[in-house]
Amino acid sequence: MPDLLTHVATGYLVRSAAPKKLHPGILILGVILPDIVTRPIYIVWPDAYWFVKPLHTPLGLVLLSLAVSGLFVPRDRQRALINLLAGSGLHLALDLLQKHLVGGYALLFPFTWKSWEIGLIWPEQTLWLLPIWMTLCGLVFWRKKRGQRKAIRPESRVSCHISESQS
Amino acid sequence: MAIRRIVFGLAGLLGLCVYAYWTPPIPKLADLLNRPEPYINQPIELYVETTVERIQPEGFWLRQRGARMFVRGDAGEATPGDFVTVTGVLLPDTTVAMQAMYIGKGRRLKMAVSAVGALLALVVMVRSMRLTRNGVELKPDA
Repeated sequence: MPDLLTHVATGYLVRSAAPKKLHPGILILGVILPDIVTRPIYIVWPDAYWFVKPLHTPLGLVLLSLAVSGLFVPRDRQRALINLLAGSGLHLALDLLQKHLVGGYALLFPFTWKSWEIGLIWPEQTLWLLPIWMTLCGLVFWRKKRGQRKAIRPESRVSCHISESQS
Repeated sequence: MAIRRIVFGLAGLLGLCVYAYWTPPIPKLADLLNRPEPYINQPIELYVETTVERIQPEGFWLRQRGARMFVRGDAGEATPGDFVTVTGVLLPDTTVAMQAMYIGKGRRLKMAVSAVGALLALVVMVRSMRLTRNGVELKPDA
């Protein structure tokens, strides 16, 4: 699986390109969810590896997203669920690009342990691509800020005229 | 909060986790050492948090939590402490005749970078959500 910074960066880029229906905070939570509920646990207790493995499968993530969305107020619950599923789906899609010597992603668990992956890059090679993701995120952030400044400027001129005419 | 939704999700997850724990697709290193009979002369895979412990001329020692196993084969560029994936055949003396190995160089750097990613995500979440008495609320300006 790629590092979490890569996952967060892809979440940010997708959120920037996608409709406003995607909420940044909850989408990012969905993007990191499959790893934060599994990796810290089996790094500390390797014996728990197979116990937490379902939390990184499609069915497990649907159930987990359902449970987490239940923590939200009724007005935001459905939006939270959609964003969590979108983020988790993006995470799995990115993971599928990797290759492993053995042990890919059990997409159809619990029906089979058979695993799949597209096999483009080794897990640690995602670190080499990190500068590209960071540069892209920086560019998107800069463009967004510039757009916001341009949008604010005409309004501030209007408010100046109003205050001058009032005085 | 939707208690029924949370309970349904968590109960389903618990069922999946227990099922996965009792039906893993590969044996643990400790199982290979303690009950090796079913796996002798069979192909095996070792990859769950497995590190190289010591390198010797004829092979190297693997460590998975407290369990250790000797692998016969060339350690290549692996150094003690490296995370590795090994495939091979389990021999009657509970050593492994290695067929292939992948060395996860940069695994610790990846963990550190992931910690930064998790912190960044936490900042974004805190900025775009708020905790109320009725549950978590999404900030409208986000």
